[in-house]
Amino acid sequence: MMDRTPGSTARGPYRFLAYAGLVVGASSRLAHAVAVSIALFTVFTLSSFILGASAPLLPRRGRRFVTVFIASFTASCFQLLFSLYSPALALDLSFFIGLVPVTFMASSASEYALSPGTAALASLREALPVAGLISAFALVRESFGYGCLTFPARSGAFVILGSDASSSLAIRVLVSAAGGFMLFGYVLAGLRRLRSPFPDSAEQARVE
Amino acid sequence: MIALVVLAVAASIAANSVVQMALGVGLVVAPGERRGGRFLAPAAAMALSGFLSWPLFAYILAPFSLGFLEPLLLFPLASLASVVADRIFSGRDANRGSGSAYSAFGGLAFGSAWLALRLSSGMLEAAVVSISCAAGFLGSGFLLDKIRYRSLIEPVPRALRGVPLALISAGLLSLLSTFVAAAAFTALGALR
Repeated sequence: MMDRTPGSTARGPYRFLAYAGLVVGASSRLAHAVAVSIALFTVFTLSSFILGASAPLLPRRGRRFVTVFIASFTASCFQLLFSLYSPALALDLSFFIGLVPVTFMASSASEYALSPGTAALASLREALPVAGLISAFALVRESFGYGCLTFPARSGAFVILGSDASSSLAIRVLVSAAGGFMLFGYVLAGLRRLRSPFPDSAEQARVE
Repeated sequence: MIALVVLAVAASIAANSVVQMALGVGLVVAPGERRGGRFLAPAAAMALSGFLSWPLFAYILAPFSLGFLEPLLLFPLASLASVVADRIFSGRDANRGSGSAYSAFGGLAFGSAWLALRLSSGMLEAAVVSISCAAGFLGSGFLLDKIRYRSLIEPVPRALRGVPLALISAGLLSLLSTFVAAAAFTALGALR
């Protein structure tokens, strides 16, 4: 069932607006983007699997709340395991890992009423484009904003590409929230040039 | 008193939920119905979850020593506060999509509760932070909504009309809020 409420972003490229907190926030460094992408895959897949497996036991009325708790629980488990690997990075990313269940609830993955395996696969397909977008943004923002590329490591992050010359040419505003928003806006405008109509074409027609 | 003003500036401008943390962007700039008061329920949810989170985590959950996993319990609290606010202000059952109360209004209520826990050291400060978060959201939300709507009727390049221009404006507002916050903190420091 499609969402009919204000702010619904269920179709087209605009659906990524629902994930803007993660896309803008976690894509300032590639190391963060990779870690958050792994968190997305884990939380989406595990939560959907648990939801699918426990579907016959769940009450109809409070099902959405149980989903909130399941998503929070799987994110907690991921946070705990990730902190064993890299405590510094886990602490850095605790807000964004906390946002992953929010993203899960904002996506349609939290509404699947399928068998556990099918639900997990469908959920993984839902998480893939989001993780791809975060990583693509991180590649642009970190390379142009800091003049280097980083990857998650036990000590936090290690630089895989970078030089003094590139870091002195960096455009720092790109790694701030402002740069993330502008990049997001220009990517959407670029996509509009390439494909149309967008969901707001009806609204545009109404205004005109 | 000055400490409370600093907290209010920090929560409403320096860490603005929409333009600095990118939370609830789908709710603010996404194409859809322009209905007066649609920001009231998210703002109320932000104030409520921020205000409730501090006593819950400082008094009730403190003996359990949940450590850094503690904030992850914030989401169910924020979600609950959002559903309650949605029922009161929107008069409907919690719905779906990025504007869903179950997703804490795209993380807005979650972000407010997170900031209240991080910035406050008492009930009064938690109240100031949560109300300032809600006020910051209302200000940036109305501004971005207006920019998006105006861009649909003004002669701007077709590719930028609507959401793309609202996002680019959010970026500019984000820069502006950074500078305003820096100036405010410098002025407050000088007053001390």
